[in-house]
Amino acid sequence: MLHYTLKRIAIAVPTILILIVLSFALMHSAPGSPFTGERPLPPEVLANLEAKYGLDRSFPEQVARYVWRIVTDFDFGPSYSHHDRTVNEIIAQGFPVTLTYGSLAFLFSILAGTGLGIAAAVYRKTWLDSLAVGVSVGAQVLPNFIMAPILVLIFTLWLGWLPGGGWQGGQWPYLIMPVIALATSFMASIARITRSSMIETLNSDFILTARSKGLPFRQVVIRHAMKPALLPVISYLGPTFVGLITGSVVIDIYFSTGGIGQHFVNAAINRDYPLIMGVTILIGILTVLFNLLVDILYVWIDPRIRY
Amino acid sequence: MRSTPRTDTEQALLSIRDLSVTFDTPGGPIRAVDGVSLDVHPGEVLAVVGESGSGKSQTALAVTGLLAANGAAEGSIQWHRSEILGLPEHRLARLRADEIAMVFQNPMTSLNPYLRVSVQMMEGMMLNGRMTRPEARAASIEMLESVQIADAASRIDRYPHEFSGGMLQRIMIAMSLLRRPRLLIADEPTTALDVTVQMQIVRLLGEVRRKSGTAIMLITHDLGLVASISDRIAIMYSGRIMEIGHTEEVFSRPRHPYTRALLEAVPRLDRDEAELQGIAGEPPDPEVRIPGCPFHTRCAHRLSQCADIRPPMDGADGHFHACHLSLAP
Repeated sequence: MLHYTLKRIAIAVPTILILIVLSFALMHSAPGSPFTGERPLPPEVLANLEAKYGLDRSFPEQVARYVWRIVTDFDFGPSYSHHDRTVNEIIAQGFPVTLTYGSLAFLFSILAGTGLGIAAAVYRKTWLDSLAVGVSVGAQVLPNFIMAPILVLIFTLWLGWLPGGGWQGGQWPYLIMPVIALATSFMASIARITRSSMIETLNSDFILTARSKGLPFRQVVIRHAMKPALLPVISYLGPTFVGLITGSVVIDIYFSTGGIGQHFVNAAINRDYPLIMGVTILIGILTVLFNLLVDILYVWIDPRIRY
Repeated sequence: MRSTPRTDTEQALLSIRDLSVTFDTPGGPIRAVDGVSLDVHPGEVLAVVGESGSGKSQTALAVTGLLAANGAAEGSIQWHRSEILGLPEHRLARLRADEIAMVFQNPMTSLNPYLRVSVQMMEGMMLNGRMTRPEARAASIEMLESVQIADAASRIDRYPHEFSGGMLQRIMIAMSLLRRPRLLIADEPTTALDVTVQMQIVRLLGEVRRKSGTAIMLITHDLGLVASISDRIAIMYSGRIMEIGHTEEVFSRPRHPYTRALLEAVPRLDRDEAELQGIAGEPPDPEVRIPGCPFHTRCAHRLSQCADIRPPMDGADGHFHACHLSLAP
């Protein structure tokens, strides 16, 4: 187990390096520059600017300098579009916000999704099953960018219960709608996966054995069926995580929550290379770490998997 | 119409009367068990023999209340003379926990691959605080040793995939005996195992009966296995009992044409045969209800009434058969 974990971490490092170089190369090859405006800058000014940000150097040199700064100081450099701020400052401000509503949405989609799925499977072919399937199919077809305006329409404009946007340090009235809008479709997917996997598990031979021992059905489900039924859900956590990150773009724009999602898009529009790179790398590292966590969790749950 | 077979005066542990099991399927109802009556007496081994689909496993599952959700049982199942068919789930669960244990066909899939053997063995005994954890653990290790699992104290904490099929079946049997059941229902306990291991399991079952006096309802299609340990045998075909009686009786003087055909289909070394006799034709489609004898299409001794009139159970001295024609012994 330890050996496996160390090996996976060793693989994660080059993965992240490749990610950095690739995103840098992609950005480098994109046409235009942050300094091309409607009025072209005089050639001397442009040359000065490029020298200041090191853009006059060769591509390998630029990459090497960039990676070196990250490795030694974890410094992503200055932002091009926010002149008085560094990328590190921007991330430090937005990331806690994204982390707060993102992890809440993550928890909500897992807990509500598995709960709904298990209930539907256990009470199969009852009204509860139909309700759960109905809710999850309904939620499935409501991506966050549809869910967000619907929630605002109902809870802000009609009922006036919740603020339509803002963050206010993450007070709960400001959290509810971003979390639900972000989580709904993932909750629905998790519910569907859980339901079908639980139904399959409950038909296994070992469940019949457990029941033949006279265990109460609740104990059969919790002790015997839960682990195998939730394995497919664990594999789905990786894609869920990535989906929540990209979803945060919509949430930040829609609810003005001020997370890093908004920088994802704005930085690309403004050709703010360091900011794009900073956000991309941060999310890349998180994704790699998260997948690592999922794989370790998998090995931990299924005793038959050994590396 | 059908007389109730009364095998002997001894008090029966389990009494099944006119049991039918029907499954509600998208293609219409399927009757898997059709009017089965049998008794299991304390301490005896009753073999229930039949081809796959003859309803023998469904009979067993009906007894323990473990039929699939789309299955329904009718008739009467008495345990110690009290009706258990239709009992609420928690009463049935208690019955399974205390008195009727089961062992299934495939030991490789019958144990939970995600849980240690110790957990799976101990949980039944720790239900409702019957035993403490150390007590349950000690009892489990002792039981594993009694089924010849060497080094049980350390191996009990392993996962099922770390054992061979034969060992897993012995673990299953040990697990089923932990609660000291009055009846053990073994559903094809050797079918999924290597031939060399099958004999070990059969011997183990024989030992269980001898040592603890547990009655065994042995469900199988293996007549050799039946011959070696059963006291009585019930031959099932298409959801009905064709013949029931003492094993020796049935083997030496089969009364039903199906039993005869079945016995002739067993390869024997003491007979010099050019070719093994199979039974021509196929078992009937379970979706089609047959008013008469389900075997009539394949029967060599068919009479004119066989297709339409259901033959009643007939016989004496604990040996009964359902056939219009009484074959000369």
